[in-house]
Amino acid sequence: MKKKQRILIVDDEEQLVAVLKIRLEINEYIVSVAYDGEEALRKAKAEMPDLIILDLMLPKIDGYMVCSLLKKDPKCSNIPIVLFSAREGIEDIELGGKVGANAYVPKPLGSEILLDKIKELLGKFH
Amino acid sequence: MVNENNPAKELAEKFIVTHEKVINQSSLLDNLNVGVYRSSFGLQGKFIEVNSAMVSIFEAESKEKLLEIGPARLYGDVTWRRKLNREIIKNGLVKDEEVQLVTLRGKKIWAAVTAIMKKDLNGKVYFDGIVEDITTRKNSYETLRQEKEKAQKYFDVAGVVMLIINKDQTVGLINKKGCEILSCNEQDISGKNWFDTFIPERMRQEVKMVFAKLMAGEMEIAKYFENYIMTGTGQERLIGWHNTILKDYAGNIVASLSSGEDITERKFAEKLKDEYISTISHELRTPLSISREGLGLVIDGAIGKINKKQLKVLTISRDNIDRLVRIVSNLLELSRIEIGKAHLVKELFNIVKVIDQVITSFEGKAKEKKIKIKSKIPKKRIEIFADIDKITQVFINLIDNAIKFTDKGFIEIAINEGEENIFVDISDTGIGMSSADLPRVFNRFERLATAGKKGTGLGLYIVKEIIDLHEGKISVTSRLSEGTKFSFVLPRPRKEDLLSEYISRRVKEVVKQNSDLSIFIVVIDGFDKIKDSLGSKRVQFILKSIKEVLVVNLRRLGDVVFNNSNQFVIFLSDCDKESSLRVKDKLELALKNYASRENLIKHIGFRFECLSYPEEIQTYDGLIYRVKTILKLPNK
Repeated sequence: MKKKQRILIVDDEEQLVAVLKIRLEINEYIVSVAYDGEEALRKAKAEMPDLIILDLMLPKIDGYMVCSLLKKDPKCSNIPIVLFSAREGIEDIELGGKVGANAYVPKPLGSEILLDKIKELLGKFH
Repeated sequence: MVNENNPAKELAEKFIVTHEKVINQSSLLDNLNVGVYRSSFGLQGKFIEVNSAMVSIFEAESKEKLLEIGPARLYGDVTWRRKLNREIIKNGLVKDEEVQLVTLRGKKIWAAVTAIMKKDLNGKVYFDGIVEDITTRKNSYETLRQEKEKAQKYFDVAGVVMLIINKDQTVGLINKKGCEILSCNEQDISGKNWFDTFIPERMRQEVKMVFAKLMAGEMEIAKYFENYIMTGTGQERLIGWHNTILKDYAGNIVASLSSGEDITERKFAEKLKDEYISTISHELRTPLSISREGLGLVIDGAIGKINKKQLKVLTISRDNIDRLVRIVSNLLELSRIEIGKAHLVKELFNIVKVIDQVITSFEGKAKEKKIKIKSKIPKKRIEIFADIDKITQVFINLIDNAIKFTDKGFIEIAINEGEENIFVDISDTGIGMSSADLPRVFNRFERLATAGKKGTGLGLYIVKEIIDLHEGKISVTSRLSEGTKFSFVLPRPRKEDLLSEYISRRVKEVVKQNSDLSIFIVVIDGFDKIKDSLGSKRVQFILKSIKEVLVVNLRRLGDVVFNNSNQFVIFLSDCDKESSLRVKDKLELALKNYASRENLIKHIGFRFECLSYPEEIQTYDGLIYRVKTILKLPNK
């Protein structure tokens, strides 16, 4: 049987994380969560997930910084990162690209697009 | 003071100063057009001698008649005489004193009087004088003065800054409001160099350059622009200017006339409002998307089986959350349009895919109302260069509307490709609108009676605004109880659109990172000729090879080579002027070698245009402007 892939969700909206976690678990992923930037960095390095879903506006360390730090870390730089944020505008997307994010999915929407992106990235990277 | 050179008067002046004795002997004096006289002193004083001009000025029948009367009679108002006398007794002379006189026939005239007090051998005082009739001149001057005063009044009454800047950059005129905003007196502004005194240093050079171009007639004036000015107290204010050019009679540009409004506070308030709306919209969307996701989990049966009734209730709830999301999006879009911030983030995308996605998202709703959504869409990619989010919003609003007002029948979405445009029709078999209502459908907050006054009245307004922003057109036809059809046109992407957009983004990126950037534009001269003689296939191959030569020689130095027929654009990030010149030499050599290898050296040449940021061009807009000018792309 194929090994289950692990996803780290980073978002300070606990309720959003709760529903998203269920959705991902139904889709056969193992999910762990972090609610701020610091926790995200710690968990990413400790757990080495197969993919990270990252909100941009986070307490302590913001999403851009988290992304750029992980991408510079030789151990974690290969983990695909999906930015998931309600912030709008091309600037966010461009900036996201600059800090090394692999995809950008805007909130709010159903999780369909997010799931598609996850599948696509995991297929590409693993 | 009215003063003009009159040679006759000068002559007469000399005459009365130098000739002691008889003055009427000279026929010369009689031919003058200024009056010359000699008179005795005192209230009873009489004219002793007068020339012909005196007779005509004072409408006397003859010299004799004039000699009968005293000069005192010629003053209509005694204060004029006293004033003149006071002067002449005090100083011994008056020069060009303007007084009001009355002719023998009672006509009021204005005269400039010059007179000298003299004494004869017996010590008796007399006057030699000149009278010039200045009535006409005085009147026209008076009219002019009144006109000028009136104009100045209009200027001062205006609640905006009125400013004339002369070609030499000095302030020609400024009104009260202008002085007020600048916190300066008019004397401290008039004649000063506008740019050196009132434009903040960081933008001074650039503004000066634009002004110089404007005055040289090399540039169209911007009807409206905003810039910062520095007031006398060192504060910066943002002014929105409306401008026009002033020309002299010969048609030469001599100055600019601008009316300016202080928009500092308004801009700040707009920014706050914008940020606030952004935050609120985020705050609204997050709980909505959590609820939607939660309902989705239950509806999909992912966390336990649900029965049909439960499914129905939950589906209705989810549809209404979607509706709420649409309303929030429309409100956000509205506020952006109001602020004028609805700028487009254009990209190339497949409009067919967007329509498909929107149709899918409405399928549930249509099914509930038992209406069909038909699509007449070609099964291929149709690319447009537009803002994908905004175009999606257009389809959402139009299809949402169509479903809302259709109870039976169908909705049809058709798309057709033209040479330069694509055409989209969205029609329904709904309640329709009367022809009286049609002109109002795109109005903001308009909710038509046929629609039962439901909705926010924003959807169609936003649709129209978005289509307008894309330089498209939208129209509507409708019949009561038969249905409605919205048709819109969007332009197909043009090559220069794509290039412009590409360059803008590229430059913006670099500027944001605060690094150096050099741009080369390589133009191939003689290209048109070889195109004719060698045929397009060979030419395409040559272009491809040239590109390869460039790519190979740039290696990692140059990031991009963009080909626009006979021009290549090369972006060298992190490369200052000096190093860019080295790269240029290298490329030039490589291209020459290529041309001689291919026996093309006699037919084509390579021209390099080099631009460096920030050494040569300091602003992002300036850089884009220059690149586009060289490439002959439209500069908006």
